[in-house]
Amino acid sequence: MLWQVFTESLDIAYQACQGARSYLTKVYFEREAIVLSQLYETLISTLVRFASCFIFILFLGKISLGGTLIVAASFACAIALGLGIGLLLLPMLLLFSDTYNLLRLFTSYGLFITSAFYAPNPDTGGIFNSLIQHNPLSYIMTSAREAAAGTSLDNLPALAIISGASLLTIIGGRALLNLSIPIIIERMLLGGR
Amino acid sequence: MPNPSDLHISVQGLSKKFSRSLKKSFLYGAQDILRGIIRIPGSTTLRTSEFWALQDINFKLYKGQTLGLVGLNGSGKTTLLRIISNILAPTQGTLTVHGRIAPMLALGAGFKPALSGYENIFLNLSLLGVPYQIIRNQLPSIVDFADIDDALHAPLGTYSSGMKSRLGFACAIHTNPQILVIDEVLAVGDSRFRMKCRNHMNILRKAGTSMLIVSHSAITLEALCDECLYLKKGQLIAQGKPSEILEKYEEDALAPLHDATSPPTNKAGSHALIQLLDVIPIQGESLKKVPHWTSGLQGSLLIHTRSQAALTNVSISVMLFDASQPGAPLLYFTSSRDLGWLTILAGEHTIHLTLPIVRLVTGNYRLKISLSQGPKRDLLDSIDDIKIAVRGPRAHSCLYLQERTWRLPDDIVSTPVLNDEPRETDFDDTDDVP
Repeated sequence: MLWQVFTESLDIAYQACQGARSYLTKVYFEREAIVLSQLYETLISTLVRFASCFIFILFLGKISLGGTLIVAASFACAIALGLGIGLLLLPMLLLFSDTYNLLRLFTSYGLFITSAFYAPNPDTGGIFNSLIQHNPLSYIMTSAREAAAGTSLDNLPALAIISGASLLTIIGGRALLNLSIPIIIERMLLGGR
Repeated sequence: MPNPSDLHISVQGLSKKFSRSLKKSFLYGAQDILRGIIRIPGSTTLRTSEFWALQDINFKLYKGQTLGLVGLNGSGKTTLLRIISNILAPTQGTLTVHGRIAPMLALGAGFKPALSGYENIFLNLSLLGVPYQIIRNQLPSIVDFADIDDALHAPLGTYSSGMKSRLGFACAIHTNPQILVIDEVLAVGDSRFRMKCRNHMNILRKAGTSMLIVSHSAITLEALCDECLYLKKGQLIAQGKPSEILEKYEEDALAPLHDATSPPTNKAGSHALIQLLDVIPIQGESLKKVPHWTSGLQGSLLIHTRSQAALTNVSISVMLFDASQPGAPLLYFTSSRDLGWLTILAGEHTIHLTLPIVRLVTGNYRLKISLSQGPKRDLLDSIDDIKIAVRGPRAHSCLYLQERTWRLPDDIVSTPVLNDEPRETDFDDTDDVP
């Protein structure tokens, strides 16, 4: 579920610009507005997912208030990370459609290099193991899992660091959006992407 | 000398380049973004396949002033408006804008067909930066202006194109703009709505709103503008009184017209029973190799035909259009209506059509001549796109010259109109100006 939330968030900025291309080329407005509007849509669908996840966890066993907050923070972190990376990739995704196809390919199979399927073991080596272990999504997923199960919260500091880094990518992505959008609109007018 | 504090738009040394190659434009786009990230100024020289769409444009627009932009297609008018509206970034130069701009580049940008007119008003005005509370306050005025009371809560998809345009126009002018940027969108709606638009624009002008207007209509520009800018191949080549600039523009517009139409060809081909061989507008010498008539003098056409056999019930139709904009013919006459049916014998013939007085105003026109037969008007042959220029005294805000005489009673006196009087008077007098 967290992977789904992440991939949807990765798509927020791209879908926002594609949906607004008819009026991006005709009228000036604060361009963050379209990203924000798409983000609200994602937040609503995430809220529904979070509620169903929460009911499922309650059905299986008790969850503390702290645990609930950490699961919610994990969802928020997945959104922030996806949005930030999506914003940073946005110019390339809009200019070159092959880049977007590559991203779609990654989101189709990227789940296999997270801890959703294979729990990483710090004691064993191997490229695949370390790839999963150092994947930021793995930290988010593990934190949510630990909080829901009520076990030790070893990954909490990592979750905090990833949250901070995600906010930084959003700030950087926003600056890049403002820098690149006139250039992208110019290409939209030329009949391209 | 205008007050510097009244400056609304200042454009200095503004240039913009585009790439003719789509693939390269994406590559250059990526390069420019990378340059922006590492804060290296964008390339100001032309790279392969690039060209200057605008080059070194300088002008100022002051409060309450209306500037017209003229130029042939591809001269950079819309690009300039897009840069001023902040949609595109200039390659070089500086643009300073003081005041809220209402861009009317495409009416109703952002309208969603699935939403109602009511919801689209909020959507469109929010996009144009109007706060929610102000939209709520303006709503009755917008609905009244657009005249869509009955359909306000119906989906926009069910609106006619006229209703959508009216709603778009109403939204654009209710943003309390200091600057209106208008790109050939003045002729929206029916005559009643156009009159309403005209009056509202007059109110805005009197309140100090400045306007930048692109139009191919000489009537609109002469009626509305204080000054005109003439763009040619991306360069600002003239700025001045509308009448002078439009005259220069129309002179220049003749050359491409001639190049594009030499020679006009007939539709039927040589195997047809009857052919229109040639049509020559004659009236003295030609102007830049384009035939021309002079307003107020006689104008003629020579129509050459070749017939394989004798034909009865033939009619010749002559249609004349404004070359600068599409629309209904300005003149339409047929030989069947004027003379009755023609019987044309085999062989070549020259038919002479004379207009004793040409009443058209200065401008560029397009002639279409066709030969038809019988009451069903079976088309035998036609020649389209014959260019003709009309030259003579400029007439303000009308399509035809009409001789007239005024007789005033003794208790009404007239005084000469001075050239520097406010232009609102011109505008108020033209009832059909959109």
